[in-house]
Amino acid sequence: MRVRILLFAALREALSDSAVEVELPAGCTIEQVLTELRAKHPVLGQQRFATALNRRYAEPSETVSEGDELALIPPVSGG
Amino acid sequence: MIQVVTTPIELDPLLAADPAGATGGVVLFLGTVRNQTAGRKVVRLEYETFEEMALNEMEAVAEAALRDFEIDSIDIVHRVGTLALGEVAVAIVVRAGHRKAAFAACQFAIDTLKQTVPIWKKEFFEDGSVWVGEGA
Repeated sequence: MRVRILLFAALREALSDSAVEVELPAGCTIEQVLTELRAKHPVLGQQRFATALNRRYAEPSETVSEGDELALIPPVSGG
Repeated sequence: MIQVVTTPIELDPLLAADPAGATGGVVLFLGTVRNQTAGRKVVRLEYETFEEMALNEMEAVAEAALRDFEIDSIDIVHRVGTLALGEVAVAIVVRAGHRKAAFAACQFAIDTLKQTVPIWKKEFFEDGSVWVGEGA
């Protein structure tokens, strides 16, 4: 399956893109997506971030399905 | 009212009187753009958001406030884009029968928003810029 990953703020700037895609077998976890993503974009290895699946915070153990929207959420600083 | 806006936050609609008169107190919090961070002169700020998720998280903050405090309503409006010094970045309005709950709920709302809502602030100095929260 193809997984689309949204990037924001410092991560968007680090990868010079607001979204990236990776190709993975169906049924993999967020952690597996991140491992693939870090291999493709080593700069991510130095970044801290949480993850959101379909616009809700999600744990790395959660399963990603075809068509899901994953987002990397660097430390927030609103207000 | 839960909103993310790209233009200056209008306070008049937020502060319009409660015609039913059930409110005994209204607490307004405004987060504004400060002119320095750790002694370094800030010239402007840029806020970026993941808007759809930010609205979800702001709704969650409001729901938790309504559940955990004896308040009648809570409105949260956050501005994004480029802001100049002194401009309002976030406004929170809490109405309650009594002031104590209104103050407590407002404090809870801004503290939680700063921890959970996907909005990012970039500070611009005279000699550079930094995403706030990085390396913290």
